[in-house]
Amino acid sequence: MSAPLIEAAFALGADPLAHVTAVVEVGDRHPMEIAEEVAVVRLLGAKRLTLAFRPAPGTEERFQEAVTLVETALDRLDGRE
Amino acid sequence: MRRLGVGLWTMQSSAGERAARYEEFAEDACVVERHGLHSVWTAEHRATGDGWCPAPLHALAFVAGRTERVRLGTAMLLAPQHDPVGLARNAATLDGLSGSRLELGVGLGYREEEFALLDLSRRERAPRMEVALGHLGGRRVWIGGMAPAAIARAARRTLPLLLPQTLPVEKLRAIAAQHPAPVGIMRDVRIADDDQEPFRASLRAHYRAEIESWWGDADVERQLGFIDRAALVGDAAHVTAGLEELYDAGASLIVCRLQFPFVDRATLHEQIARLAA
Repeated sequence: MSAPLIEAAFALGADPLAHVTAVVEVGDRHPMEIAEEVAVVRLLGAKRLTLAFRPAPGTEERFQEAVTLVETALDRLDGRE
Repeated sequence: MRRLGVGLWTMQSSAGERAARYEEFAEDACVVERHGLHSVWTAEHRATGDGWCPAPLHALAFVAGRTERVRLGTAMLLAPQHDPVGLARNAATLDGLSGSRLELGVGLGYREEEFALLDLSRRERAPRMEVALGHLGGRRVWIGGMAPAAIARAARRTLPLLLPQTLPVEKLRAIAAQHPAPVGIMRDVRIADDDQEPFRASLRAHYRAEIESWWGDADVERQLGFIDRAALVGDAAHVTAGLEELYDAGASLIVCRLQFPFVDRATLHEQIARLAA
């Protein structure tokens, strides 16, 4: 299985005009680790990146909670906490 | 084999223009590639407040999209701070997209606050490193560090060893003579014919700030002494002789740190050109 945020970073680098969508799995890794990856890829192409989340296999019941945790971690990285 | 890489893009910035640091990294990597050097290297830290890159594989993926030949290194990626399955997936994806150009250097990490940010403890770092290496499987990984445990870990797995910039050449020689896989080393480098003292003063100030904020009660002057003695600073003949000494001592890769937050980009590009000459 590939890593969507790595693929997104590569695509943003390869084509300066490309608009990229990354569908990121949440729920199976620490939310801060995911948030850090998202934060860096946003820096690589803020206005050219669309992000979506989906539950990692087996974590469907905790999906909303997992998204909230990643968003909270992103706010923390942005200094908004 | 004698390979010369360039580092160390950390993305540190006090200006708040963090997106620009990544764009500049990609542009700088293109300069390194044009000059035919072996590799570009970045590093990982978190919870620093100055923009240090916490996701170096993603920064390198961006660079991979802009380049064709230059190899892409981490010195170091803090493997115990990552989910091992996610790390292996990220590394495999980057290696595949880049045409097998990933040079994955891994270190334990040492700052307690970095582990705490991820709800981990520094005490877990050695076993977590073993788990991470297990998930990375047969991938060629550089083990970072100079502690006996790090050297033994690399030797047990017959993995290459990437030694820090403070290691004296005689210790490199002793380690390389025993190690069953390639050995690389890092060095802080500046090539110039003019007065070297301003660069050395900036280098000391840079590392003093880092050591004091990260280690607190460390013996700063002793550490700065190691850094000062090991740095290759001087004219082209002096730096060339220093690099030759490292190769002769057993290094097959030297990562020259030319990039610092206090080095402007015109100077950096000039230094890259002089290193390649």
